[in-house]
Amino acid sequence: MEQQLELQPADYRSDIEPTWCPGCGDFGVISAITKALAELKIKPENVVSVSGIGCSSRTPLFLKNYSMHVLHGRAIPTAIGVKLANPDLTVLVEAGDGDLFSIGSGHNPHAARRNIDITVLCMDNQVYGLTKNQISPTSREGLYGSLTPFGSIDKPVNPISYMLTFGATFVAQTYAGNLKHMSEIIKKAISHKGFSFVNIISPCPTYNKVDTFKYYKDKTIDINEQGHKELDNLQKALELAMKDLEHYYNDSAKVPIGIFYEKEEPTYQDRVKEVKTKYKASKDINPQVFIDECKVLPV
Amino acid sequence: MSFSLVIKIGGEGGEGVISAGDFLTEAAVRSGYHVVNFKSFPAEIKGGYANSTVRISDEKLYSTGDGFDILCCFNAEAYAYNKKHLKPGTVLVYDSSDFEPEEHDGVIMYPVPLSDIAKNEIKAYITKNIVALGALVGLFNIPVESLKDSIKAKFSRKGEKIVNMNYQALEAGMKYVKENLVKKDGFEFPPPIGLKDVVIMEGNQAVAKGCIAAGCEFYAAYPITPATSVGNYIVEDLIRKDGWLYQAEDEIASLAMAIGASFAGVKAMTATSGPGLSLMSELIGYAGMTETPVVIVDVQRVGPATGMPTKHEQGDLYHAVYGSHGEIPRAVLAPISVEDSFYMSIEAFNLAEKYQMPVIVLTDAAMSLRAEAFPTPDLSKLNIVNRLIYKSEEDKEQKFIRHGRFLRYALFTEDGITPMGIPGDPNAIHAITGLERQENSDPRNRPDIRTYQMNKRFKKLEKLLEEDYDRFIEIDAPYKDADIGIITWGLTASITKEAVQRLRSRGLKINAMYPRLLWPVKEDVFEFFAKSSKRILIPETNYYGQLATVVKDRTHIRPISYNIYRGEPFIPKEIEDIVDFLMENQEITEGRFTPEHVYGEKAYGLI
Repeated sequence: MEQQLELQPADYRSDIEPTWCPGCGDFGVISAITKALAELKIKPENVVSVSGIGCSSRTPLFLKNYSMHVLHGRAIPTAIGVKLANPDLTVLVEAGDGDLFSIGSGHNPHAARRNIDITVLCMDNQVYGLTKNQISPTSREGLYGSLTPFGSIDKPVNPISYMLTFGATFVAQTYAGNLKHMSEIIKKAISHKGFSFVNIISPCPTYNKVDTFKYYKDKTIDINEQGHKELDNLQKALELAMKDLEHYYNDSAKVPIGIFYEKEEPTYQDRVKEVKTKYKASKDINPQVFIDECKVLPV
Repeated sequence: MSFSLVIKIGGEGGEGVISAGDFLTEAAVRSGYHVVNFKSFPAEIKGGYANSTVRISDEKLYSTGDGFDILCCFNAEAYAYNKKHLKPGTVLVYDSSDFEPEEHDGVIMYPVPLSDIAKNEIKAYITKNIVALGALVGLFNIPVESLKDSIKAKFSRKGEKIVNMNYQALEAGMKYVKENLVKKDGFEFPPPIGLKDVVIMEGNQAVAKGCIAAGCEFYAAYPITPATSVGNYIVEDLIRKDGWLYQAEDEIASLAMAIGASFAGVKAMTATSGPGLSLMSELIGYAGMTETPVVIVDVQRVGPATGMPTKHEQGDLYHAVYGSHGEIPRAVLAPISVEDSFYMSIEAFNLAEKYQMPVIVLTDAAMSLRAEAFPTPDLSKLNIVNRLIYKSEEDKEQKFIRHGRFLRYALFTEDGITPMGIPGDPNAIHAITGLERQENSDPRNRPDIRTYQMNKRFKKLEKLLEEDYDRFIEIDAPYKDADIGIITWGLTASITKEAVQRLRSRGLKINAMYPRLLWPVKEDVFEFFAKSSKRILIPETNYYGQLATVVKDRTHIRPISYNIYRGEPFIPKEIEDIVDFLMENQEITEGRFTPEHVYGEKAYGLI
């Protein structure tokens, strides 16, 4: 038997060079994803990366695994289809804040509340980059965009508190400027049995001149290090989450990163298994049976 | 035809009107006859007018006829709805404990106190529908043993007591008729000739059974009238087969999930109606662009917007053929009957899998609620097609691998079909994307690559026309120089078949063509058919004449289109009438016509 060589992060990178601008936070994210997959020893052929449309949604094309670069907003339902068809696959959604919290936001609650065992990585740069600078649902008030030359007058959404209330069983935030933290969080998110959501603050150096690496450098604070250890306490998680956007309004406020919430609960697939056991499900059943059930039989 | 009887039962929803129709349907099948049953439910969840029309015959018929021979009314409302159709020679059986009808010239009336018999003799009002069946047995000689067997088959689970109570109700109805009424009509059910090996299915059930027979393992559903029951019928079969039905949050999600499941290697589908199909448009394009097999069933209803959700229309053909931006290879199938719905659903998967593209199946609200008995399908005799999957060991020269990358969109295959890689296989790792891309899935904007990839995708349709098209086209053209050649599709084709029989029996030379595959179009087949007829008529239940438009677009044929869009299917008589109208107006060779042309102002009186 040939000895199985250790998997390296590079084994998960395709030979397509990323098309991102120099200095984009997403370079860090892709390093964290490949590092996490290598450390978890998940074979590339058993990973399916699914994305929508946007700068960050190109990620699957730069990875060497099975990839679906889908339509704007439709990464999550597509990923659900993959997972239900083959539960043995590791299914990742790699998408942006526009994809996940604007056009595709209607899919989030249902994937979360059903605890479908997929990992959603939101690369949150608080801006639409691929269409060249428009405000996104996570943009801070006052941010300039080409369609809001007067500065945004919209309140931003809070992805963490959204996902917590939708019933996600793993919710975390990390930062593209901290590779170690990012890969550790992504590892935990993938390992979590159930629906996991990670918001990754991933600055856009081209169109968001406010929420930059420089801005976040000393802003982040690791909530787990700071004593948030009771991870299955939803109340506490929500309290912390509500502070997530405070820094937009208060210069001295910090940006919380780390695991907000983690709870082991039966996954959708666990429940499907129970149902199938009741029905004595079997691939071997001849479908002629289903036809014959419509027969008119002598009584 | 030698024997045909149409019995319509009407009454309050929940009074057993529909189940009375079902018992009658099954009894006819048990007696060895052909049967078509059409049900109409009230729009309300509870109460409201419901009816069931059962047509029994000794040869296969294609419609529920022009009207009823026998009307059985459980209440005054059902009578009010139907009284204008009480023509001389028809029969009215009614609940005389509920109401008294007006005088109708030439209509034979049989009053039967249905409610009183059920309440007073059987002590169970719920058996009113069975009392009514008893009356029909007594009056028209419906084989009572067949009816009893149908009742037993349905109620035996509930115990002997329930079965016997229903038998008593049946006999009470028969007894009343025998003792109190004198038969004045000529309708008579012939003696039973024996149960054959048949199934009874409703339209949506046939779709469900066809899809499961084709190997469907994943179904994403979002509730929508009148498509929901495809899901109702398939859900438990799917689970037993170790598949799954997922109720999605909307139709966009449904199709996205089906595409995801298909990418992961299983046969996947969704079913919807017009509004859902509109929402799915973008993803239909994605499935075509990424060459992912998927089946979408559209049980058409009256559109646009919310339209008339429970009513029949053939209004989605444009959307099925042209919907979604850009251009993709796709196939559009339209079964013409319930039996056909079963087989066309299998064909939909076969075409989707073979050509790696979306296939849309168009049925409609009327077909969805129509029940037919047809010979039990034998799956061992059916051809089930599976997609071409990449196998490294068969690719000795590693043609599909370049610089370590799997060429999902290789350009060197002759027919444009390239093997799919399935997640889990280390040798076929690849991406799919809605962006134009080169052979290894890398996005590219280059004009040459764009052109080659477009050609690759559309080559698949050329192969389809070559290898698979002809079996979908039914041509019934006995005349070299027919007066009129009718081309039509879907449920209208079934109804037209009966009209064609009648027209021919009157000496008219009528040819007919019933395409089940509406897209792509093989021009030669249409034009060859058209040569056999002086004029081409395309009747459809939509405003524009959507098949007529496709025919005009793809061929040199300039048809006469005949359109109704009132939310109901044609009746055979209407097809006869438009043909007669055209025979009287030989100068008409093309254009769009409606009932106003044929009937003048009276047109609305028919509705």
